Formats: sequence, C-alpha cells, structure tokens
Amino acid sequence: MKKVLVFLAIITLGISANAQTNKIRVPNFRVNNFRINYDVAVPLGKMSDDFINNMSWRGVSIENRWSVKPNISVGFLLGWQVFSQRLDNFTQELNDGNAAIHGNQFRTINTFPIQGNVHYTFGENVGVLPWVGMGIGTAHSNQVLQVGFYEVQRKFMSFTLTPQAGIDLPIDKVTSVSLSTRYNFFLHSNQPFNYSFMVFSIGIKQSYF
Amino acid sequence: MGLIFVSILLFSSCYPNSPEFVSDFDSVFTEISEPGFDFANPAINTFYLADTVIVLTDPNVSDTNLEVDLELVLNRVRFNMNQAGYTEISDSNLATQADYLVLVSVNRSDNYFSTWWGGWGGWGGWGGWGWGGCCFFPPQVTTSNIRTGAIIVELLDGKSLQQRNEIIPEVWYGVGSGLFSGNNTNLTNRTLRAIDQMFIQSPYLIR
Repeated sequence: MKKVLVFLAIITLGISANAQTNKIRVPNFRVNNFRINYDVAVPLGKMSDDFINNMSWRGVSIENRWSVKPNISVGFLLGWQVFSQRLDNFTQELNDGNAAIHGNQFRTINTFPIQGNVHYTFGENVGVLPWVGMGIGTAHSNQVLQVGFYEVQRKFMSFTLTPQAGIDLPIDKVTSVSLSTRYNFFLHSNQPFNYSFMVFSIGIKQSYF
Repeated sequence: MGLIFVSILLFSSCYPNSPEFVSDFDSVFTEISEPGFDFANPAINTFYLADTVIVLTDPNVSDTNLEVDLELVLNRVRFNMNQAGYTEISDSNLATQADYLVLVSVNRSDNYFSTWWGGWGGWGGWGGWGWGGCCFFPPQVTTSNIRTGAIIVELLDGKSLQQRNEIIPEVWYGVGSGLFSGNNTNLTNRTLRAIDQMFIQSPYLIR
C-alpha cells in the first residue's frame, strides 16, 4: 500500500511538473536570442543641419544576444542604414566662398555599424520584457554628394557609441515582437561632421537555448 | 533587360535618390581663379566681349554641330555683364583699355564607351567525351554614347595687360555643363540659364 502511495505521488508530481513545464516560459537564464529588425532613423545635429535632414526609411539590423547572467546578455549587432536627400537648384559654396556649384544635389549616406553590445533586462522572462543596453563598435560609411557630373565621395570608419532601450512583447514561448530605440553616435576624424541619429526599430526576437 | 532591372534594384537601394532626368545632370560651377583679386575695386567699370565663341570640340572625336546659336550665347553674356553694372567697350581697337576681357567658349564632347556582360562559356563538357558542354551565352556588348556639353565664361584682368600679345591673367570663370541632349530649344534654354546662373551665384561681380 505504502509503495502504491509513493508510486502515485511520483506519478502525480511528475504529471504536474510536466504540466508546469508546458506552462512556464523558458527562464531568462541561459536564454539566447536572435533578432532581426527593421530600422527607421532620424538624423540629428550637424548631420541633419549640414547634410541630410530627411528621415531614413531604409534600415535593417540583425542581432544576437547571449545570456551571461540572469538579467545580463552580451551580443553583437550588424546594421545597414541608408540616408538620402535630393535638393533641387541648390547652390553650394565651396572653398570659403571662392567657388560655388549650382545644380540638383543628391546626397546619400550608406552606413554599416558593427557593434558589440551589452543589455540588462528588467524582470523575469515572463510577459513583457523591457531592457536597456549599450553598443560600442565601429561603422563603415560611404557618403556621396552628387551635382551634375561631379561627385564627392567619402568612405571612412567611425567609432560608434549606441545607448539603447527596448521592450519585447512575447507572442509565444520563444518568439517576441521587439520595439526599440537606439541613439547612434558615430565619431570619425578628418570629416566635416560626425553622425548622430536616432533609430526606431521593430523586430522579431527568437529565443533559443 | 533583366540585368538592368537587377542593377536598378540594387543601386536604388543604396542610392534611393539619384539623377533621373537630363536636367539633373546640369550644373554650374564658378570660381575665383585669382583669390587676391579685388572684385570690389571701384575702378573696374568696363568690359570687352570677344566677338567669337571659341569652340573647344575635337572634330576627330565628337560631332561639332553645337545646335545652339552662339550669337544668343554672346548676347546673354553681354546682357548679364550689363545687368551687373559694367559698360561695354565694343570697339576692338580699344579692347586693351577694358577692365575685364570676357571670353566665351563652348564644348561638345561625345564620349563613347562599351559595356559588356556575360560571355559565360558554359561547362566544358566531359573531357574527351564529345559532349559539347552546355549553355553558351554570347556576351552582350552595348556601345553607348554619352554626349556632354559645356559653356565656359572667363573674365580676364584687362588692367594687368601692359601690351599686346601678352598672357592675361584670368580672375574668374564659370562652367555650365550638362548632357548634350534634348531638342534645340531645350539646349538653348539650358545654356542661357547656365550663363544667368553663373552671375547669380557670383554676387561679388555686381557693381
């Protein structure tokens, strides 16, 4: 009889434990995730004043984050953002007013950030999951200004610093929709202006062990 | 066609805004070529306009038909100089007394180039097996001609001209350039507009 009770107890506990694992979301600890984001960006500062103030609707980034502590993850981000603007009948002064060029101007920036990042998530991995983070790395940029047959192209690497924050809204146990914002500061030497722009992104987060 | 489509797709994603129309390639560049020159000098009042437009086109390479009436070009330069407040000296014997000597030149350039794509030889076949291989695509060669045109207006410092047959220093020049494309009226309008623009963007020339 005693043996039967023990047996039943084991079975019931087992079943309930089983039932629980189906219910509980995967705990945050050791949960890694992969993200793919659609990014839009708003240029700020000198980048906006001197070159392009159009919003960028073309951006994409992929991220991978590995959990190192229950609330902390490290990872990387690879991105691509395209800024572009057309200025009709624009006169640009050159060489301190000693020269000028007039025409329809086409300004483009293609920038590719490559960053390592660290994130802190608030709370357990159940339900809505807000996080903050910081990315540090480099970016390769290609900045082009075209007028008529003339083109000035600058290609350079930048040091990048990107504080960021976001919120993950789970749609099932492993997949979330992620809404986030990143402030990008790209610092480069020997260029007329640094880049600073705000990125707003919507992405899909896929968790895995 | 497919290649064009793919390349448009590819380049338009990196360069969403790029020149589309003929007029998008038009530009006007002006420069003070003698930075120390004092354009505000009140002693500068007169100009002499060379009565012939210099044609820079190389007849061995390009079609020399400029289509634009060069008399209209000269008149527009004269009009702009007058508007800027200068008095013309039209007597060529007195040309050496003018403060500015104005030279106008034009160029038409036909730039031929070939682009080719393909020419994939296919698979070599099976060694000595006598199969001919597969799928030979002949290369697609396209020869294009990008025709460009330019108008150049130069101001030379007449005051530094001591005697005849001397090199006169240039103090200012403007270059309008664009695609040599469109009908006669269009070409004429764009050329004359370029001349106006040279003066608009050089306010220091105004008396």
